[in-house]
Amino acid sequence: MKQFIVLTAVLPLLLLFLMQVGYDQKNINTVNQIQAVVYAAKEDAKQEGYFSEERKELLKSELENIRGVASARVDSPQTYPQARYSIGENRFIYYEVEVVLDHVMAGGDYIIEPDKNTYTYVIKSYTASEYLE
Amino acid sequence: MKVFIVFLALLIVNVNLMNFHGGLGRYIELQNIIKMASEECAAQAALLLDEGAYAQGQIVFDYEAGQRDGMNYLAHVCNSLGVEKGYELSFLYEDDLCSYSVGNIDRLPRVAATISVDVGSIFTGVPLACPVIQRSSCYEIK
Repeated sequence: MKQFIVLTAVLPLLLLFLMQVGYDQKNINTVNQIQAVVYAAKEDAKQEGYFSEERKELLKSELENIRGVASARVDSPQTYPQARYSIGENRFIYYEVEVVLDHVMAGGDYIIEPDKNTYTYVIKSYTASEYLE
Repeated sequence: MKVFIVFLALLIVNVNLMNFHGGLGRYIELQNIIKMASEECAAQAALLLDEGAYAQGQIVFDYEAGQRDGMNYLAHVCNSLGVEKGYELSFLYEDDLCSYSVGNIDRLPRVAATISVDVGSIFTGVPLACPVIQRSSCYEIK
């Protein structure tokens, strides 16, 4: 009986680790999808010369439609198209994408508060414009 | 005591399993990031042409500017990944000055960027058989 009681206490703890492997897989898939969506948007922005407001909104909604994403934020300082053959820094389109992933750890609401069971994935990069005036 | 030892053993196995699985996922993610970085370096370099040669009807890339911008970009990517050293970038150009490879029948100017990043410093707890990730991308002008 004593061993049974110990088992009931220990088993949920050990199961959490096994469940976390599944959660990790889910998180990796989510991050891969985020990367693919941002990459596609970046390629479109290269052709347009900047991240237009429509492009930012579209990217934001696409990111928020991914399973496991709670919220997303897209920011780019350029407000007009950057030309392809500009000299120096002017040919670069800067962008910052911040995505909040929820339910990243196994155990759910029993162990971690929902607002703390999150992970913020940030992509901060730039790309060279291919926009021809 | 026996139950405690068995529990401890299972706990250690589970923690290592989780650590290894997480590390492997991160490693695959880094491979994607580095592949994308090599594409971006090649694309950036292919956009930089030598204006003097272009005025004479030749397509010649600006090698110096391409290397500079590519290294700046790679340093930016590696810093964001937490890799401070152990990264390299090399370009292979095919243009009117460097000539064209045998396989390039249409004589299209192209830039191939190769990136090597040593990610061993990130994965201290995960044994990696190949800590150096190398990816290549080619950008062609039609």
